[in-house]
Amino acid sequence: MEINWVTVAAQIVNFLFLVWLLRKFLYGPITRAMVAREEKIRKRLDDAANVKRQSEEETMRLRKERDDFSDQKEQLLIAAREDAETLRRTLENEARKDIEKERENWSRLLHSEKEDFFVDLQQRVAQEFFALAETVFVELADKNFERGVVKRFLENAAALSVGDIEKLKVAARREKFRGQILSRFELPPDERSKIEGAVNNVIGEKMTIQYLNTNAFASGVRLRIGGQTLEWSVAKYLDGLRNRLEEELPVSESTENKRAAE
Amino acid sequence: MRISSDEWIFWSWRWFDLNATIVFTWVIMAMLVVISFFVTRRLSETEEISGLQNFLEVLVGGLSDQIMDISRQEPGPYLPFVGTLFIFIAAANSLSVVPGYVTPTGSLSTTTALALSVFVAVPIFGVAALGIGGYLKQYLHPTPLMAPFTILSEFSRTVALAIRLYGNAMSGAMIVAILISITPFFFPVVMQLLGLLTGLIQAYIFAVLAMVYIASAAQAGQPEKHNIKMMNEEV
Repeated sequence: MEINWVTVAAQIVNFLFLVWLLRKFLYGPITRAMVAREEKIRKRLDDAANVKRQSEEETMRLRKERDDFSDQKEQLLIAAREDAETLRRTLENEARKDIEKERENWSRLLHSEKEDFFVDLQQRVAQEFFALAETVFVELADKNFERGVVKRFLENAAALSVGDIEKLKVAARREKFRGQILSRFELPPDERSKIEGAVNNVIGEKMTIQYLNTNAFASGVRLRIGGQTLEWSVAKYLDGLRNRLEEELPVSESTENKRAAE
Repeated sequence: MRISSDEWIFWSWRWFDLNATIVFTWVIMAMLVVISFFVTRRLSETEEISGLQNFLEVLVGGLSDQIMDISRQEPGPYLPFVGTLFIFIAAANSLSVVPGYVTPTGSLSTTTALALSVFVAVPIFGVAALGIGGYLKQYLHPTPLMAPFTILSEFSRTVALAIRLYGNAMSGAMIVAILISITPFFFPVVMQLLGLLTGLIQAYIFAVLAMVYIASAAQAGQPEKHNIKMMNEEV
């Protein structure tokens, strides 16, 4: 165990030379390569961090847009539901009103038709009654019945008012004292003379009477001088009765319409 | 049986003997330089790197981390010196498994040379870091009375560095040689494996101690600042 100082000096030189060589061929290149790689990795990490941050921002933005869209959709749905509910209520109210109106119209129409039916029924009954009565009088009418009729005619002529007599006189003068007697059956001569006597008495002048038979009324006698008439007939009574009934009975709408049209 | 490789002389001229220590040192140097040259000739800066480049990067990166841990400074100025200490000693010790090879670190001349290199490097790095005044002040701390002891400790630790490495390397080779003559097969292999481990540990110890000495010299003028920094880091 001894130290060879020449070897020591040589080893020192060798070692320092090795330090220089390794510094040139090992540490420098390796360190530079590691630094360059670390720089690249750091840059890529920074890029990745930037991309991640951007993607997170994009994600946040898209999430916010999605939330906004969802809120908007919800609000639109709520508004649509409210509108639909409002529309439904409006339509329902309108439908109710229409139904109510239709029901009222229907009820009114039903009531009107019911009224019309009863009015028509009453009028039909009255017409049937008058037709039946007229038929009965026609079938009952004969010579004797005509005598009664003439008697009632003469009574009426005797009971005329001054005004009516004056009207007849005016008409007689206008017709040059010519008149007509209308009856359903041909009057016997005695009855004719009674009638002529009564007419002359009323007019105060000699009248020329023409006798005519007609089926216009069931039974009766009618004096016609121009536009003036004096008569007694069953038809007149029946007309009076009809007028009174018409005044008393209600008039149906259809009848009113007919009358208005007329 | 040679105790030291210094005694194995290949060529002699006057006072210079070309012994096995120098020759095998050249072999190691050539091997390291050639490997480094071929690996670093085509370095890859991407993630796709060769196995040797990966090994060298791990080696250099590990050395840099160790230097930074010990010195708390950037490893750049110290890496060539301390790294070469470790790589040279580790390579010299690891090659001891090769038949016919005699490790240069088994020579007291080599270990003395390395220890003297450290002995000289410590004040150089200290002066470079602190200046001459700053470096010399450390001998007056904590009191000028300690200066002789500090100087003495520097000599003694240099001697210790040399003797420690020499003793371990030489003893490992000697034990293997003795065991081969006694029990030829199994035990020498085990002892060689143990010698590989011991050699790497000794390389690490030598390099770390050298770094500690250099770091203590380079930071001697600023202990308070360093302590404050350390405390801040711990907090």
